[in-house]
Amino acid sequence: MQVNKRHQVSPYLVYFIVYNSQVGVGILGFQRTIAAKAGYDAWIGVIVAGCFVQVFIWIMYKLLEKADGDIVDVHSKVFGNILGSVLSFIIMIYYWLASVSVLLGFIEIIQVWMFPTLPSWIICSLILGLVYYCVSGGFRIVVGVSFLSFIFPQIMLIVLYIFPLREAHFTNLLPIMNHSFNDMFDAVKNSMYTLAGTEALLMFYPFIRDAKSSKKFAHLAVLFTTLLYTVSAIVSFTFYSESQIKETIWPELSLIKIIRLSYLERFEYLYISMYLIIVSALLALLLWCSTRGLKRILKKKQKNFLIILSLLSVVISQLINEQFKVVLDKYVTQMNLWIFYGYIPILLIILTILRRRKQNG
Amino acid sequence: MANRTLIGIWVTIFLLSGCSLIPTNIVNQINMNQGAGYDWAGKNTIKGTITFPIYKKDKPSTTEVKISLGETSKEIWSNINNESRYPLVSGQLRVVLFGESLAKKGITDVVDTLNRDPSIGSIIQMAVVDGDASELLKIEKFKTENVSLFVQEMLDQSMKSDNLPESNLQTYLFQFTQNGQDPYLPLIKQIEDNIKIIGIAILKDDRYVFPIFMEDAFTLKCLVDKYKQGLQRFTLENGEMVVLDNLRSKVHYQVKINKGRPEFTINLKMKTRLQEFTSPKKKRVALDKKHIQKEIAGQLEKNSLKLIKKFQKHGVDPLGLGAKYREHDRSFNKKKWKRFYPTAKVHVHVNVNIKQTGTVN
Amino acid sequence: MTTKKDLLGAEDNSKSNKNQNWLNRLSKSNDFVHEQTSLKEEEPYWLSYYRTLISSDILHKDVLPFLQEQLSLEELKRIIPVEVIIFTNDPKEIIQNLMRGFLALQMNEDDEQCLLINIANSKFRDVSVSMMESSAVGPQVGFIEEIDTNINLIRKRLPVPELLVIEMKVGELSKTNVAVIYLDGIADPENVNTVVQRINDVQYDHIQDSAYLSSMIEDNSNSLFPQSISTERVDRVAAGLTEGKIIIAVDGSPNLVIVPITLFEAFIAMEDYSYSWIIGNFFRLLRYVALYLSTIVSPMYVAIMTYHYELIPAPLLETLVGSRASVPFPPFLEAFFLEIMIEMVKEAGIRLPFKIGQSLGVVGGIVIGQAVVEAGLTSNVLLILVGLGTLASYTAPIYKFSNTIRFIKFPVIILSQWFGLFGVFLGHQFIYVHLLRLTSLGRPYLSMFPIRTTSFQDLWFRLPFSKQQENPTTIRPQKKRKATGNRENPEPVNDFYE
Repeated sequence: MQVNKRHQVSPYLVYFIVYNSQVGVGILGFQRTIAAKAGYDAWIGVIVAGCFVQVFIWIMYKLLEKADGDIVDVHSKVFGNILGSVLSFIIMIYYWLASVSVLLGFIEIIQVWMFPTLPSWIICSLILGLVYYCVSGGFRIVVGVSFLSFIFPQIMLIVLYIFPLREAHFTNLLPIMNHSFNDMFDAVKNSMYTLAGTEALLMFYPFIRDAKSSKKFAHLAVLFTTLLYTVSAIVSFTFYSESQIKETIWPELSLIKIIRLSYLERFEYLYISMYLIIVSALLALLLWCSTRGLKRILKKKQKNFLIILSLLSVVISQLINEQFKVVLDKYVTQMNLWIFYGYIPILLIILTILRRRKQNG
Repeated sequence: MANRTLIGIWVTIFLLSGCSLIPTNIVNQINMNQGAGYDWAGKNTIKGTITFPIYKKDKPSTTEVKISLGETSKEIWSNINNESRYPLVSGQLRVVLFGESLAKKGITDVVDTLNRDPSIGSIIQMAVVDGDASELLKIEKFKTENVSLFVQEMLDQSMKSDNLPESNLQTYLFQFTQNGQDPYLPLIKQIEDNIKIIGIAILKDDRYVFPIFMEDAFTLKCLVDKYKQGLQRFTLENGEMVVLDNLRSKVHYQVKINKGRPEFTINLKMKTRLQEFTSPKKKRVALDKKHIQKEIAGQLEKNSLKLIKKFQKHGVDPLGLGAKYREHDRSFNKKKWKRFYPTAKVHVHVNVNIKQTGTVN
Repeated sequence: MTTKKDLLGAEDNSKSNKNQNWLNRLSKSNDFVHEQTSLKEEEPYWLSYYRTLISSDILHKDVLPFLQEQLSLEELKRIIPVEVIIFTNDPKEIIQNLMRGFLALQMNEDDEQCLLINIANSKFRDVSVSMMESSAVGPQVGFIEEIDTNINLIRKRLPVPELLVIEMKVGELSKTNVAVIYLDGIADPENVNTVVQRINDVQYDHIQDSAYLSSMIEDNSNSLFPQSISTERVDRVAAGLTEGKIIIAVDGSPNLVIVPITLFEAFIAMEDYSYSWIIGNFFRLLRYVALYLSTIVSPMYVAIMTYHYELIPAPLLETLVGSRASVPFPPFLEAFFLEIMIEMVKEAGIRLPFKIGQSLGVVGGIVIGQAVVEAGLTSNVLLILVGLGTLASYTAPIYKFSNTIRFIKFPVIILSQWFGLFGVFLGHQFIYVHLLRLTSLGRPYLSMFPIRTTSFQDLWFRLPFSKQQENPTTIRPQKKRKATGNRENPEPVNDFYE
């Protein structure tokens, strides 16, 4: 499926889009979940998970190249129109649920750290208002926001790592590989979910101008995020003691508390406010994927879906309670792992077989 | 059309909810709690002292001190809130003092509250008071000078350029939760109308056991921290006195496992500059640098070993030898270590290098 | 010499009615002159003109002497030494040209054939220093209100035949001359067509200023950001033309419109090029920082003072809190009040007559500010911050843009009052997304993304001339490379060591 050339973007921008799709609210708290079982060897798990994601990107590119379009096209080619639409619909719902989980995570951070009495629906509607404005401008605007979310917050935050590293106890990481294979596997599984997000590629593939040359940028982006997460894990591990990290819900945020400049003290307020840029970029991308897929399946206007999904998200954010949130998170994680790491490779195999059959017969 | 009504609804709701959606903390309408002191006051009650400044236009600020009893620190807070003009907020908390009585019983409850509250920073200073914390905070002289800021900055500068090892809430928590280390805190005392740092308080888990005074504090700092700047007087055997300043020190720990038991070697390197040299002989004598260096090194080794023996006798481990052992031995067992510790072998090697001797020899 | 009345019969009756029609229409105004050069009815000539539009010098010197003899209109056309002489019988054209200051010469009163002679009075302001945009060094020449002089100034700078001018008339009542100027072969034809088409679509009574026209052809008129630059400086216009931009000149306005533009061009001042490139970049960076700071300083003050007292380090506490100690208002009202006050001072300063303006400036600025702090209505820290912010917003070389910057502060201040620091970043993100969506003539407004190498050469920073070899790609010029050949620094002649 070809998209109007005017709406396509240059290949190197894929770097920013893939980066943006991965980095979300997870980086602020994942150190605790991966260290739960694997202790301070969990950073190795992050690297291993990164390798898995690289393979996954390769599989996705192959799949989309063969179908020459996005996942909706793949499904309709493999399963026919009706079944294909149903499966694509499930994937769009996944995108939406992922955006809800990111949104809820961010709202929780704001409510715990900054404004305890601010009702969820107000924060939700503000952020979604911004995201609506962004998505209704088209894919190029979404990419522009991803671009900013790399340039502005991320580079600054990488520079901010200097402060905790000054007090790091690198010997915390010893002894290396002191945990069993099962524990490490658990760490890898948790890291996989935090590194997830690259499945947005399934929807924006047709919007890349020269898809072949964009492959290296996607791999570069995953490499960068893997390194970023590993460094973040190591910084947290060398900063906190093992039992301390098990009690700290957001290790990375608590780390930022120690930064003190001569004109500004408690940096975490700035950090969280700046995080809005990253979160809104991620939400814009996810909601764009979701509504575009719905538009292609149900053949209605994209804006309508956006409004419906936004309203649903607002309602959910207000009505949800802690238990439901945990269930939602678990559900989304499972969906992610099974759909994308299990189902997509199977799709690729099926498509290859179908192609071969077409060629032969 | 739908867009307009939606926007209209949101705007109306916003305007209806008032101009301030979130309770404001306007900076001149709050009482900023800058220093807190906690003492033991009988069965299960704590005596809490809170200091906060009152700012006036064109006049220097004054400090208010308020005392209250309660069972938990937050309860003390709300009691004091009942008698303050503006709401009491704790975001600017800078120093927390523990009276000897409370420190001997354990400070975990209070520290846990400090850690949990997101508005309290994590580099606040903590110190043990040899005596009563509320008496110290109530010193008359400091009514016009901010006593909490005074204590905090005094502790800060002492850590930078004097004999106190680096310590704040974050390092305390790290040492406390670390497997194989006991924390330490600065020790201050009220002497007539002044506040003075008299040494370091060594804690076992979270209870204050015994103090170390300034001479030994120097040795302890050499062993756990690095000096970047400092001054120390040494008395040599033949009565000569040497003052070294611009002390820079680095310490390195080595662990050897000998027949299942750990053996520790501590290597301490010091680079200094000679500032003062007095000799009981009235004649001006050229100093023998090598001799002085060797003597000082010998003295340091002796003092360190004495200190470590004292720690071993009391069963406290502020140096973190247990943590270092754990890093090198995969089969670390806490109980085993507790048995080993009092008799563990520790060697200390000190290397002193006097780089410059001022402008005369 | 007779009219065609008796040759064409009835038809001519209607035409002669028309003739009298335009005469009747125009005679309603008292400054319309319709007279005969001689006293006898049969003799020519009949002159019609607007006394207030013509230059009597040209009339006396160049036209009247030749009317002594009774020549035919064709012979007169050959003799009269005026460059624009039209021979016509179209009443519309006659009216049109009479309105421009032409003289209508008829042999007899009822003639349809007229000779239209241009004796218009074109005295305007002399070409001088530009009034609104001044610079320390560099050419100071500014455009004036007359379109032909303006095009003259441009052509003198770019004397190539590729400089094309398309003329149009816009405005029902004002019939303003509008000229679209571009360099054929460099400017993108698509851009040119868009501009011409949009101007043709404009329907309005009067076009007083080029700003009217530029807002009518803008992509998004609801945006705060200017999508075209209006400038009085000739060097800026000429530089824009060589890069492939399109200029719109409007008769009666000294401001010319440059289109399409990107956001970063609002930060470019022509005197950057008069300094060495390092210093020029320093000033450009200073402008970026100043303009960004001026949007963020007041909202941050409001946010920190209202919600985030924890961000203030201990030494600053005394200063900040002490300065607010006796202020009864919340920081939001304080900041709002001060900002509005400064805007009022600025507005009043523009309207005040010159002599009063000076003394009132002192009163407004210094005394009121001081008194407000003394009375305890605001804090002196905020006064400094707001003053600096406003001053910083004036570093924008384009006046329209500095207005934008000063206006954007207000919604962000309101957001910071509602949501603290989070609101500040929310506001900025909204502005960013808005800039992303904005286009100028269809080209993206924010050239920050996608990054193009050409942006490094002349847009964000300014490289030395030897490195500026390409035209900015954002407006898709046809000629990609500039005429290069600028040398790098030559090898130093080192004869010390020979």
